[in-house]
Amino acid sequence: MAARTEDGVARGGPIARCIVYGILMLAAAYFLLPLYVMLTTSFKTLPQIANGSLLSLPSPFSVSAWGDAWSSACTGGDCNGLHHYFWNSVAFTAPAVALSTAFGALNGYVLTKWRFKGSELIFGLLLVGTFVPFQMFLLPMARVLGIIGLDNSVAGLTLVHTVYGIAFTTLFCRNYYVAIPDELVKAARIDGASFISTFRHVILPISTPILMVCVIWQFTQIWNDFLFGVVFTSGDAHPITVALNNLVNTSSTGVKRYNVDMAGAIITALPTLLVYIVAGRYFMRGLTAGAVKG
Amino acid sequence: MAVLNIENVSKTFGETRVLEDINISMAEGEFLILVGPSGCGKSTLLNMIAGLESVSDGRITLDGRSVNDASPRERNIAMVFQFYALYPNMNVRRNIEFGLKMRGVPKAERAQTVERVARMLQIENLLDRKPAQLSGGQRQRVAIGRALARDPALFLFDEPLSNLDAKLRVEMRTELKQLHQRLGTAMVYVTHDQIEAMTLGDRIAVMHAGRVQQLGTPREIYDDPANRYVAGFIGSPAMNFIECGLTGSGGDTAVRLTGSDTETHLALPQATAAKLAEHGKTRVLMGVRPEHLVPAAEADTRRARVTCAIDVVEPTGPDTYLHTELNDAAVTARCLPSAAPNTGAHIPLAIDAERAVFFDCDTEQRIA
Amino acid sequence: MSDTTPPAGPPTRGMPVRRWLDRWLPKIALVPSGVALLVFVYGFIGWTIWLSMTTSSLLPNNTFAGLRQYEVLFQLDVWWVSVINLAIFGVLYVALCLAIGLFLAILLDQKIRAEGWLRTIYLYPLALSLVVTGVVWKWLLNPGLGLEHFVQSLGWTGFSFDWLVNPDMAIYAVVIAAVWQAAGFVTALFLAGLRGIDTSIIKAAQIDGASLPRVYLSIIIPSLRPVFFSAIILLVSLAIKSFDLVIALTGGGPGYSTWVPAIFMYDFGFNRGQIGLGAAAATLMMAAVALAMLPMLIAELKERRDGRKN
Repeated sequence: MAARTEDGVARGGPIARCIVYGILMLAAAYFLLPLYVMLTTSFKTLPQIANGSLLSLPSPFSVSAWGDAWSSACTGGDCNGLHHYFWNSVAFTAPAVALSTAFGALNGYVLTKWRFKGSELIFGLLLVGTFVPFQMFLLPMARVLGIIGLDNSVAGLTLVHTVYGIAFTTLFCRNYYVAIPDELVKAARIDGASFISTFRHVILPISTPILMVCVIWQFTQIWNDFLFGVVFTSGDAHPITVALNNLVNTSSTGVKRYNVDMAGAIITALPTLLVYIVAGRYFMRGLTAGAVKG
Repeated sequence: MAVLNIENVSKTFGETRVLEDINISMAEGEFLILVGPSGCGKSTLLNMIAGLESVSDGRITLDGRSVNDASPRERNIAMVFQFYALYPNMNVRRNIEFGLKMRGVPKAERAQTVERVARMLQIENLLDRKPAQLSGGQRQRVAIGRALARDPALFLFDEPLSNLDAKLRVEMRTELKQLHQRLGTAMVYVTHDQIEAMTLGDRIAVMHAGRVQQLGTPREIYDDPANRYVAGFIGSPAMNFIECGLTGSGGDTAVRLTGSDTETHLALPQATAAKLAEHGKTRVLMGVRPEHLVPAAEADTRRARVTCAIDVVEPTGPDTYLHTELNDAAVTARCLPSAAPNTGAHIPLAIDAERAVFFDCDTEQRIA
Repeated sequence: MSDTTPPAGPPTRGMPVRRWLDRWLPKIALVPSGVALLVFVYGFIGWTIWLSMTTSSLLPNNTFAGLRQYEVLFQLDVWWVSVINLAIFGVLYVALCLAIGLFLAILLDQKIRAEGWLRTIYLYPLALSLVVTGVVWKWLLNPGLGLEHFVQSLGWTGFSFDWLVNPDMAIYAVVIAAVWQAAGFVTALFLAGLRGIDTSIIKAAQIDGASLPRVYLSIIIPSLRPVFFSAIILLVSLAIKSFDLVIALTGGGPGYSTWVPAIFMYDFGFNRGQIGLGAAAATLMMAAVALAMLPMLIAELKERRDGRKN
């Protein structure tokens, strides 16, 4: 017998509900398992990994794998760990996130509040551009970066990520600003505010939610990027994702050091994971915005 | 000198012409209403006066200066919007002073102005609140305050009351009228509500299909509508339109009316009859307001009467309206509540021929 | 009152500049992005298409070769391995993500107490880099010490799970990791869709005597069509672009048993000095995405036209 809740939608009996909860918990375990294994493995010693169970807790608890991953593991050519590449990633992610978000907000503002002949066309082109596989840009971009002397550099990656991020941030901001009444901008213009002061005093102060979405989305995308990193940089200039892949595939002694691999993976994942935990709801909003319109 | 002069102004969006040859001149201190149904171009015209829309053709002058190419901030105007358009991130004080700040007015002076405006609108206690913490009526007051702070040469109102509930709307209407009397500044006021138009305006421009159908005082618009559109738009309940044939000739021209049974001839005033005869058509459209179509018992005994079957009786309080048919057209008559007949009754109705107006059946323009 | 207010009248000098700025600043503001869009997106698309029609190999050149590169491409076994892998991967990835996503979303929609927590748990993999996902699953799926070893240690000594190193099965290992990454996202999409459904329809159906599964099958799931639509488009384009995960998980191997077009493009374009072939592969990838997008673009345009009419 189906029991009805206050809004009339049937819930099913207690047994059915137990099954539902059971399945949901099982799914949660499935999603959490890799994270759990990643964490526990990173604190184990190699003998423990070889002899113990995959799911057992580390004992003794060892942080040496973390130290190795950070400062001494081999990542292809050198054996200085991930720390250098971590800072590489920070060095291009921060400016690329800031720049692409700033341009996105500005573009969204113009495309919704200062429409002109052709602005819809520009937006249409932008929208279509978000679907193009990045593979289409790799060969010409490699050439252009070489010509302007930004190949194999953090500055080059900043440029690439900014350029290809703008389409998404513009999309987000445009969809947000389109819901802000035009009257607000009209009122500001009547009050004597210029294009820039309207943006600064009226639009920007109410843009915090969408700027958060842009920053978080861009941060996740850029930090996690592998393709641009592996194509446009080599050696010293690699981002952390490429370095992690190298670390995992470099075994100087011939022994796979899974604990170091896992520590490296967590180090790589930590920034975006933290952002997700702290600002998850903006993360979700960016995803759905990107899914519905982009 | 005219505060505002609109000369031969047109507006096109791509292929569509939304405003056609508009000519309006506004005197100092005048309260001008632009009224019409949605899509008639009234808001576009207001935006053009404000500088928010470009002028496709013609010229707009403010204080004798052509402003066709001037941006809003170069025009000495202030505007109140339908949805208030208060800056959500600023409190009331900062909303009101924003326009002054943008124009570089020093802080002390701004504070003075805010105090003065707040006192005038009785919103002193709201100054530190954010718009989200205000009721609809309070928001509208703040929006008006923001316009007042600038002390412009011309106020523009874009349907400012249409978002308020009925009671508040009536209160604010009165307040706006008092405000206008106190300030003596010219105001252009856009609305779709003909009652607002009648009660507020010194002059009304009735707009329809991108044109000004008639520009005149409320009295002129009501009593002497220029065409069928204006006649039907202004007045509630609406004017009755009855298509009827003419008999007689010259000054003796009369109209034929059929109620529930026999045909009656309604004699017309000399001048009206002459104009109809001169117009030359055998059928015309007669317009009679409900208050000029009343039970014969309430009217002057000399008036022509026609017996009608009452289909519906609608008491509204001060008046009772009777629905019936004349020449097969549905019409509304007005009667005193105390003398209201029963549904289905056949009673004689009298028509005030002096107040009847006549339109051409095809062009719908006024004949007499 | 006018003595306390400022002269808001017309300023005279310097106006033309200001007016010019008023008119042009919005357009000027778009210029950097517009130029970037034209050069780095549309210019590069044209450039890559052009490269695919030249004899470019180690260095790009401008010797026109017509469709020669495509002919070569179509004769390469490794290209067809990549395409077939993509087909297998794409179909399974999309189907499994949709199935798991819809199933979990429906369960989550049953007024679950810990919904917020569960959603957070389901979604977190998406915050991870695909490289991280690849590294973790590489560890989990490795036959020596991973899940195979774990299950064997539980007593099923005959248990075998060697997909990662089995050329015939390795692409399915990629599917497992990819589905793990994206299923939570699809769940969230469906959940948002379910929340958007008017509950009064469901109530009406139940009052009419429809059972709960019946209500879901014939009312709720059909009304989720738009969500299916955008989820499929998103997943298909993710599948076509997939590169990081395969590299990190299998490196394309064993052999090139898990190559996909994105790897082909990278390897030929950058490692093997076959720029023309790389460009041709990229162009075909874009064509595939365009093909997948087409239905949505048509629907979007239609909607816009209808919207304008109203």
